[in-house]
Amino acid sequence: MSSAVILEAENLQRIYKMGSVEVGALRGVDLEVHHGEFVVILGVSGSGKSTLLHLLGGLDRPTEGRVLIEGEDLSELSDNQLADVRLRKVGFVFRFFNLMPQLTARGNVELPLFLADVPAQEAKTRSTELLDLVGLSERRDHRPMELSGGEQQRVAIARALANQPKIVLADEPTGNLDTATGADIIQLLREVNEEQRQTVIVVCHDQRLTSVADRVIEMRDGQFVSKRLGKGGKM
Amino acid sequence: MKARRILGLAWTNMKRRKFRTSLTALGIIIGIMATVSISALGTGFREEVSTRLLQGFEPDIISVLPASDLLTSWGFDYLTLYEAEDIAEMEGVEVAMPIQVRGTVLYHVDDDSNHVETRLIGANFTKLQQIYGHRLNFAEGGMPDPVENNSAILGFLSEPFFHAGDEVKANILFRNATGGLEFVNHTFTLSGILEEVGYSGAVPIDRSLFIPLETCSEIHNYEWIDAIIVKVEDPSLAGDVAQAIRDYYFDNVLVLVPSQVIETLDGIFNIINLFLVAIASIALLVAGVSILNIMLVSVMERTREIGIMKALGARSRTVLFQFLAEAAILGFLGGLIGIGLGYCLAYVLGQLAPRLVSALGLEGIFGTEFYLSPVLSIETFLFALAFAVVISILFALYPARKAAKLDPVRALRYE
Repeated sequence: MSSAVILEAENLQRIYKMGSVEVGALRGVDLEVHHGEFVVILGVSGSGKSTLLHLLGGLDRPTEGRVLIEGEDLSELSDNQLADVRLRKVGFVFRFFNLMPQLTARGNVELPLFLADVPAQEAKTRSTELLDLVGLSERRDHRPMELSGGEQQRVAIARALANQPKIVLADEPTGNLDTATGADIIQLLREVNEEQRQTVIVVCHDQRLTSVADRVIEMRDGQFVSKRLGKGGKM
Repeated sequence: MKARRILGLAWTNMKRRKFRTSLTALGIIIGIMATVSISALGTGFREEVSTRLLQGFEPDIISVLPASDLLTSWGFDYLTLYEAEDIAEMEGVEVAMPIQVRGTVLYHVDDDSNHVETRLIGANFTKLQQIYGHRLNFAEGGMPDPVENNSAILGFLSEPFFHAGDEVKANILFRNATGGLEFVNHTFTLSGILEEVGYSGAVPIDRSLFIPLETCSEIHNYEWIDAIIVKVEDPSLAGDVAQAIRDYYFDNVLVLVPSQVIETLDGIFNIINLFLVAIASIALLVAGVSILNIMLVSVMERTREIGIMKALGARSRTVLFQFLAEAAILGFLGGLIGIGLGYCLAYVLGQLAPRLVSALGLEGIFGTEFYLSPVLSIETFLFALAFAVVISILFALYPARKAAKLDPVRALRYE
């Protein structure tokens, strides 16, 4: 089964300048992700995997190389256009959930919808659907403070899916959860991937994720060191 | 993102930090309160004084005084009866009344136990009635008929020492031919006591003893005139007649026209008011700086949230507007509350005005019932509100720009 390439990265490099010292966080990475794929990038902390994720999602700009989403070169976009890419084409899930503390679960899911100027009624319907999807129908009106870590991460996943992005990018989504809850989140991501044919890229050092991935890439010192099919591989 | 949504988000943020929001708003509230109360009281004061002056100043009565300049007193030292006759002949002039004014102490002829300090005004009674007739009502007695050398009428006194028909002794201070100060006693018969007139412009009627001008001249052997009170045929002629009189004297006298005096006073009040409001708005500036300060802290604290907003796809402008919206709401609500409190404060101060007047010993000018009502025009209201919002937004610009410019990756890492 071959499907369209949705995301491409060519010779991606990201060098941080810390005073006079240059640190290469990412040193030449090439990647192709197909529509509907579940890709896991494994690496220890400091291997450059978060930097890679930020570049893929248009949250940061590479020092060298380029990222294409559906053939669109992100390096050619203005800051505002890049913000629109983040709004409509990608959805981020973070290790520390990063929910807005003053907003309810529903408010958090609706935030990207309102940023995209979706009418209130439609936003309400959509947030209800998404919170049902992640299994939080009963907790819609709770604020992050009143939710468990796993529940918060479910809200974050619902929020990432709000504007029906092409790709969901998850940065250590299980890193701040206990084993059982982490497993639930992995399961949820897998469901989203299979049932919605949602492309998912996860960076982490959680070996368990390799079991659900279509493809596993290992990273060290800002470079890919091995690529293999995951156990759940369907390619 | 739509403006309504941004405002909603800003409002949610502000509710989360109620205490801090209220503290920030307090600055705006105090600033606006100070400005509005001063402005409202100032306007109230101006209207009150203008009304009183308008009541007292007859628009068709001009006063001619020696000295051309109110501040330096340069010009002639006195006027003459001949000049009064010339003025009476001028076009548009109905009556010209020359007067002499002296200080005096009044006693009963055979009883020194009560005395009153008053003014002695030498004037022609017929002309006095022609000019002020409609305001002269007798509480007791009436005009002397016929007018004798020792005839007199007495203006309203708060002390009921004297009555119509009484013989009074006036102890009059004057300057003699060699320039020395001297007292002379003269006895008058009071034909009538006037009712209270209130403010009456150049000729104070209350607390004055009116005697015939000729008697006044004879008593201290002095023929010069202290002022000429001119009534014009129509108020619209006042300006022209005043100019004719100035020309007649080659600008060596002071001619007071009520409408011009009120205009001048109005101008002075406006300047004072503006000055006071300017001082009060320094408080608003301080409020602005506190907004600046608190917003900067807020941006630091919310760095991560700003990072999240940007990761979700918020443009820099959206983040900027969100912070500005918070400032605008703060300014709007603080402004509203400040205006309300400012008006209340002005009302309370206005009620205290009579005490202030008596503490300063100004009852003679303002009376004992000088309550000030604050006046808050719709323009002042809107201006104060707009000012509060603009100041808030202005001082929030820098922090908001700072927030908008944050690098999302760094902002997300911020602990």
